[in-house]
Amino acid sequence: MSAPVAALVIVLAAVGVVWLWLKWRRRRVMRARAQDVVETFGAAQAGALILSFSAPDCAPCKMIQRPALDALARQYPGRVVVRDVDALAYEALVERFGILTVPSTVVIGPDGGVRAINHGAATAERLAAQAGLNGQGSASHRMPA
Amino acid sequence: MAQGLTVDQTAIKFAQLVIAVWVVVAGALQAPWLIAFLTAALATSAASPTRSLFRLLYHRVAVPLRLARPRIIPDDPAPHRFAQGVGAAVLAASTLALFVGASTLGWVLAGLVAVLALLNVTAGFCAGCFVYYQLSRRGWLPRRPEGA
Repeated sequence: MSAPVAALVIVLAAVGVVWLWLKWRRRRVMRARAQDVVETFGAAQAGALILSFSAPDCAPCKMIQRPALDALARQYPGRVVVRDVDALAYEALVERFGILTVPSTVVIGPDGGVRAINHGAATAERLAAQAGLNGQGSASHRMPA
Repeated sequence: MAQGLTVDQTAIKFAQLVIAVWVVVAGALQAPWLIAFLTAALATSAASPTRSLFRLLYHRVAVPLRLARPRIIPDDPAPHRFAQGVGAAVLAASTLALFVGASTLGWVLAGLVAVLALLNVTAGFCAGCFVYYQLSRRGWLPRRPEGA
Protein backbone atom coordinates (compact mmCIF):
# COMPACT_ATOMS: atom_id res chain seq x y z
CA MET A 1 0.00 0.00 0.00
CA SER A 2 1.44 3.41 -0.97
CA ALA A 3 2.01 6.03 1.72
CA PRO A 4 -0.76 8.43 0.56
CA VAL A 5 -3.29 5.57 0.51
CA ALA A 6 -2.19 4.39 3.96
CA ALA A 7 -2.46 7.97 5.21
CA LEU A 8 -5.94 8.29 3.68
CA VAL A 9 -7.03 5.12 5.47
CA ILE A 10 -5.61 6.41 8.78
CA VAL A 11 -7.22 9.85 8.41
CA LEU A 12 -10.59 8.36 7.39
CA ALA A 13 -10.41 5.91 10.31
CA ALA A 14 -9.64 8.76 12.72
CA VAL A 15 -12.51 10.84 11.30
CA GLY A 16 -14.81 7.81 11.63
CA VAL A 17 -13.85 7.22 15.26
CA VAL A 18 -14.36 10.90 16.14
CA TRP A 19 -17.71 10.91 14.28
CA LEU A 20 -18.93 7.82 16.17
CA TRP A 21 -17.79 9.29 19.48
CA LEU A 22 -19.62 12.56 18.76
CA LYS A 23 -22.74 10.63 17.75
CA TRP A 24 -22.62 8.59 20.97
CA ARG A 25 -22.21 11.76 23.07
CA ARG A 26 -25.03 13.49 21.20
CA ARG A 27 -27.39 10.53 21.63
CA ARG A 28 -26.63 10.38 25.34
CA VAL A 29 -27.37 14.11 25.79
CA MET A 30 -30.47 14.04 23.61
CA ARG A 31 -32.00 11.18 25.60
CA ALA A 32 -32.04 13.35 28.72
CA ARG A 33 -34.83 15.89 29.31
CA ALA A 34 -34.04 19.53 29.96
CA GLN A 35 -37.42 20.71 31.28
CA ASP A 36 -35.69 22.48 34.20
CA VAL A 37 -33.58 24.50 31.74
CA VAL A 38 -36.70 25.49 29.76
CA GLU A 39 -38.41 26.65 32.95
CA THR A 40 -35.31 28.43 34.27
CA PHE A 41 -35.06 30.46 31.09
CA GLY A 42 -38.80 31.12 30.91
CA ALA A 43 -39.19 29.47 27.54
CA ALA A 44 -42.13 27.17 28.29
CA GLN A 45 -44.55 29.30 26.29
CA ALA A 46 -42.28 29.62 23.25
CA GLY A 47 -41.89 27.05 20.49
CA ALA A 48 -38.27 26.41 21.36
CA LEU A 49 -35.35 27.47 23.50
CA ILE A 50 -31.95 27.94 21.90
CA LEU A 51 -28.90 28.04 24.15
CA SER A 52 -26.06 29.84 22.38
CA PHE A 53 -22.69 28.94 23.88
CA SER A 54 -19.97 31.51 23.28
CA ALA A 55 -16.89 33.03 24.90
CA PRO A 56 -15.70 36.64 25.25
CA ASP A 57 -12.83 36.31 22.75
CA CYS A 58 -14.70 34.17 20.22
CA ALA A 59 -14.83 36.09 16.92
CA PRO A 60 -17.08 33.64 14.99
CA CYS A 61 -19.56 33.80 17.89
CA LYS A 62 -20.00 37.52 17.36
CA MET A 63 -19.58 37.69 13.61
CA ILE A 64 -21.30 34.53 12.37
CA GLN A 65 -23.48 32.98 15.09
CA ARG A 66 -24.85 36.24 16.54
CA PRO A 67 -26.25 37.57 13.21
CA ALA A 68 -27.85 34.15 12.54
CA LEU A 69 -29.55 34.18 15.95
CA ASP A 70 -30.65 37.78 15.46
CA ALA A 71 -32.15 36.87 12.08
CA LEU A 72 -33.96 33.91 13.64
CA ALA A 73 -35.35 36.09 16.44
CA ARG A 74 -36.56 38.66 13.90
CA GLN A 75 -38.15 36.02 11.72
CA TYR A 76 -39.99 34.13 14.46
CA PRO A 77 -40.86 36.63 17.20
CA GLY A 78 -42.52 34.96 20.20
CA ARG A 79 -41.87 31.46 18.90
CA VAL A 80 -38.26 31.08 20.03
CA VAL A 81 -36.27 32.20 23.06
CA VAL A 82 -32.52 32.63 22.54
CA ARG A 83 -30.33 32.56 25.63
CA ASP A 84 -26.63 33.43 25.53
CA VAL A 85 -24.38 31.28 27.72
CA ASP A 86 -20.73 32.04 28.49
CA ALA A 87 -19.17 28.61 27.95
CA LEU A 88 -16.23 29.51 30.16
CA ALA A 89 -18.44 30.52 33.08
CA TYR A 90 -21.25 27.93 33.08
CA GLU A 91 -19.33 24.67 33.37
CA ALA A 92 -22.39 22.71 34.52
CA LEU A 93 -24.35 23.52 31.34
CA VAL A 94 -21.26 22.81 29.21
CA GLU A 95 -20.89 19.37 30.82
CA ARG A 96 -24.59 18.63 30.63
CA PHE A 97 -24.87 19.30 26.90
CA GLY A 98 -21.40 18.01 25.98
CA ILE A 99 -20.24 21.30 24.48
CA LEU A 100 -16.88 20.91 22.71
CA THR A 101 -16.30 24.27 21.07
CA VAL A 102 -17.61 27.79 20.60
CA PRO A 103 -19.84 28.78 18.99
CA SER A 104 -22.23 25.92 19.79
CA THR A 105 -26.01 25.92 19.95
CA VAL A 106 -28.47 23.61 21.70
CA VAL A 107 -32.08 23.52 20.54
CA ILE A 108 -34.61 22.46 23.21
CA GLY A 109 -38.33 21.96 22.64
CA PRO A 110 -41.04 23.29 25.00
CA ASP A 111 -41.40 19.76 26.42
CA GLY A 112 -37.75 19.80 27.48
CA GLY A 113 -36.60 17.43 24.75
CA VAL A 114 -33.18 18.25 23.31
CA ARG A 115 -33.80 18.48 19.57
CA ALA A 116 -30.32 19.31 18.28
CA ILE A 117 -26.78 20.18 19.27
CA ASN A 118 -24.61 22.09 16.80
CA HIS A 119 -20.85 22.13 17.36
CA GLY A 120 -19.74 25.13 15.30
CA ALA A 121 -21.71 27.97 13.76
CA ALA A 122 -25.26 27.11 12.63
CA THR A 123 -27.29 29.10 10.12
CA ALA A 124 -30.67 30.64 10.94
CA GLU A 125 -32.35 28.26 8.49
CA ARG A 126 -30.79 25.22 10.11
CA LEU A 127 -31.78 26.36 13.60
CA ALA A 128 -35.32 27.12 12.43
CA ALA A 129 -35.64 23.63 10.97
CA GLN A 130 -34.25 22.02 14.13
CA ALA A 131 -36.63 24.06 16.28
CA GLY A 132 -39.55 23.09 14.04
CA LEU A 133 -40.25 26.74 13.23
CA ASN A 134 -40.22 26.54 9.44
CA GLY A 135 -43.43 27.73 7.92
CA GLN A 136 -44.88 28.79 11.24
CA GLY A 137 -44.74 32.49 10.45
CA SER A 138 -43.16 35.30 12.21
CA ALA A 139 -42.54 36.47 15.74
CA SER A 140 -39.66 36.03 18.57
CA HIS A 141 -37.90 37.60 21.50
CA ARG A 142 -34.44 37.33 22.99
CA MET A 143 -33.65 36.92 26.65
CA PRO A 144 -30.95 39.21 28.00
CA ALA A 145 -27.59 37.50 28.59
CA MET B 1 -11.86 43.83 18.24
CA ALA B 2 -10.38 46.93 16.65
CA GLN B 3 -12.91 49.17 14.92
CA GLY B 4 -13.13 49.16 11.12
CA LEU B 5 -11.55 45.74 10.54
CA THR B 6 -13.26 43.54 7.99
CA VAL B 7 -12.86 40.02 6.66
CA ASP B 8 -14.11 38.50 3.42
CA GLN B 9 -15.69 35.25 4.62
CA THR B 10 -15.88 33.86 1.09
CA ALA B 11 -12.14 34.44 0.57
CA ILE B 12 -11.40 32.46 3.73
CA LYS B 13 -13.59 29.55 2.65
CA PHE B 14 -12.11 29.70 -0.84
CA ALA B 15 -8.59 29.42 0.60
CA GLN B 16 -9.63 26.45 2.73
CA LEU B 17 -11.18 24.73 -0.27
CA VAL B 18 -8.01 25.32 -2.33
CA ILE B 19 -5.90 23.86 0.50
CA ALA B 20 -8.05 20.72 0.73
CA VAL B 21 -8.08 20.16 -3.05
CA TRP B 22 -4.34 20.85 -3.25
CA VAL B 23 -3.57 18.20 -0.61
CA VAL B 24 -5.77 15.65 -2.39
CA VAL B 25 -4.06 16.36 -5.73
CA ALA B 26 -0.60 16.17 -4.09
CA GLY B 27 -1.52 12.82 -2.53
CA ALA B 28 -2.94 11.46 -5.78
CA LEU B 29 0.21 12.46 -7.66
CA GLN B 30 2.43 11.42 -4.73
CA ALA B 31 4.18 14.77 -5.06
CA PRO B 32 5.72 15.95 -1.77
CA TRP B 33 6.99 19.09 -3.48
CA LEU B 34 3.36 20.19 -3.88
CA ILE B 35 2.98 20.00 -0.09
CA ALA B 36 6.23 21.99 0.31
CA PHE B 37 4.86 24.62 -2.08
CA LEU B 38 1.53 24.72 -0.20
CA THR B 39 3.43 25.15 3.08
CA ALA B 40 5.29 28.14 1.65
CA ALA B 41 2.06 29.61 0.24
CA LEU B 42 0.23 29.24 3.55
CA ALA B 43 3.14 30.62 5.58
CA THR B 44 3.35 33.62 3.24
CA SER B 45 -0.39 34.14 3.53
CA ALA B 46 -0.17 34.12 7.33
CA ALA B 47 2.84 36.44 7.45
CA SER B 48 1.79 38.85 4.73
CA PRO B 49 -1.86 38.51 3.59
CA THR B 50 -1.36 41.00 0.73
CA ARG B 51 1.11 38.57 -0.89
CA SER B 52 -1.14 35.56 -0.41
CA LEU B 53 -1.41 33.16 -3.34
CA PHE B 54 -4.96 32.29 -2.26
CA ARG B 55 -5.89 35.95 -2.25
CA LEU B 56 -4.43 36.33 -5.73
CA LEU B 57 -6.37 33.30 -7.04
CA TYR B 58 -9.53 34.55 -5.36
CA HIS B 59 -9.35 38.11 -6.70
CA ARG B 60 -7.89 37.32 -10.14
CA VAL B 61 -9.74 34.09 -10.94
CA ALA B 62 -12.63 33.14 -8.66
CA VAL B 63 -14.32 36.54 -8.36
CA PRO B 64 -13.93 37.66 -12.04
CA LEU B 65 -15.25 34.27 -13.19
CA ARG B 66 -18.11 34.61 -10.69
CA LEU B 67 -17.15 31.35 -9.01
CA ALA B 68 -17.28 33.19 -5.70
CA ARG B 69 -19.11 36.23 -4.42
CA PRO B 70 -17.36 38.36 -1.77
CA ARG B 71 -19.06 38.48 1.63
CA ILE B 72 -17.29 41.14 3.66
CA ILE B 73 -18.24 41.38 7.32
CA PRO B 74 -16.78 43.26 10.31
CA ASP B 75 -14.31 40.84 11.87
CA ASP B 76 -10.78 40.67 13.19
CA PRO B 77 -8.43 39.09 10.62
CA ALA B 78 -5.87 38.18 13.33
CA PRO B 79 -7.45 34.84 14.38
CA HIS B 80 -7.70 33.80 10.72
CA ARG B 81 -4.02 34.59 10.17
CA PHE B 82 -3.17 32.67 13.32
CA ALA B 83 -5.13 29.67 12.00
CA GLN B 84 -3.23 29.86 8.72
CA GLY B 85 0.02 29.99 10.69
CA VAL B 86 -0.96 26.84 12.59
CA GLY B 87 -1.87 25.16 9.29
CA ALA B 88 1.49 26.18 7.83
CA ALA B 89 3.30 24.76 10.88
CA VAL B 90 1.52 21.40 10.55
CA LEU B 91 2.22 21.35 6.81
CA ALA B 92 5.89 22.18 7.50
CA ALA B 93 6.05 19.12 9.76
CA SER B 94 4.33 17.16 7.00
CA THR B 95 6.88 18.36 4.44
CA LEU B 96 9.76 17.47 6.74
CA ALA B 97 8.35 13.99 7.31
CA LEU B 98 7.83 13.47 3.58
CA PHE B 99 11.40 14.47 2.73
CA VAL B 100 13.06 12.39 5.48
CA GLY B 101 11.23 9.25 4.43
CA ALA B 102 8.39 9.14 6.99
CA SER B 103 5.90 9.29 4.13
CA THR B 104 2.83 7.90 5.91
CA LEU B 105 3.22 10.38 8.79
CA GLY B 106 3.75 13.19 6.28
CA TRP B 107 0.59 12.39 4.34
CA VAL B 108 -1.43 11.89 7.55
CA LEU B 109 -0.45 15.40 8.73
CA ALA B 110 -1.30 16.89 5.33
CA GLY B 111 -4.60 14.97 5.32
CA LEU B 112 -5.42 16.32 8.76
CA VAL B 113 -5.02 19.89 7.52
CA ALA B 114 -7.26 19.11 4.53
CA VAL B 115 -9.97 17.51 6.70
CA LEU B 116 -10.02 20.42 9.15
CA ALA B 117 -10.18 22.91 6.27
CA LEU B 118 -13.09 20.99 4.72
CA LEU B 119 -14.87 20.77 8.08
CA ASN B 120 -14.79 24.54 8.34
CA VAL B 121 -16.08 25.00 4.78
CA THR B 122 -18.87 22.43 4.99
CA ALA B 123 -19.90 22.30 8.66
CA GLY B 124 -18.75 25.64 10.06
CA PHE B 125 -16.52 23.82 12.57
CA CYS B 126 -13.54 26.03 13.37
CA ALA B 127 -10.59 23.94 14.56
CA GLY B 128 -8.82 27.04 15.87
CA CYS B 129 -11.91 27.93 17.94
CA PHE B 130 -12.02 24.37 19.32
CA VAL B 131 -8.36 24.56 20.42
CA TYR B 132 -8.85 28.07 21.82
CA TYR B 133 -11.92 27.04 23.79
CA GLN B 134 -10.42 23.84 25.19
CA LEU B 135 -7.23 25.67 26.27
CA SER B 136 -9.26 28.52 27.81
CA ARG B 137 -11.52 26.06 29.62
CA ARG B 138 -8.51 24.44 31.27
CA GLY B 139 -7.15 27.85 32.25
CA TRP B 140 -4.13 27.55 29.96
CA LEU B 141 -4.95 30.81 28.19
CA PRO B 142 -5.34 34.15 30.00
CA ARG B 143 -8.93 35.43 30.03
CA ARG B 144 -9.55 38.92 28.74
CA PRO B 145 -11.28 41.09 31.36
CA GLU B 146 -15.03 41.61 30.73
CA GLY B 147 -15.68 44.60 28.49
CA ALA B 148 -12.10 44.72 27.19
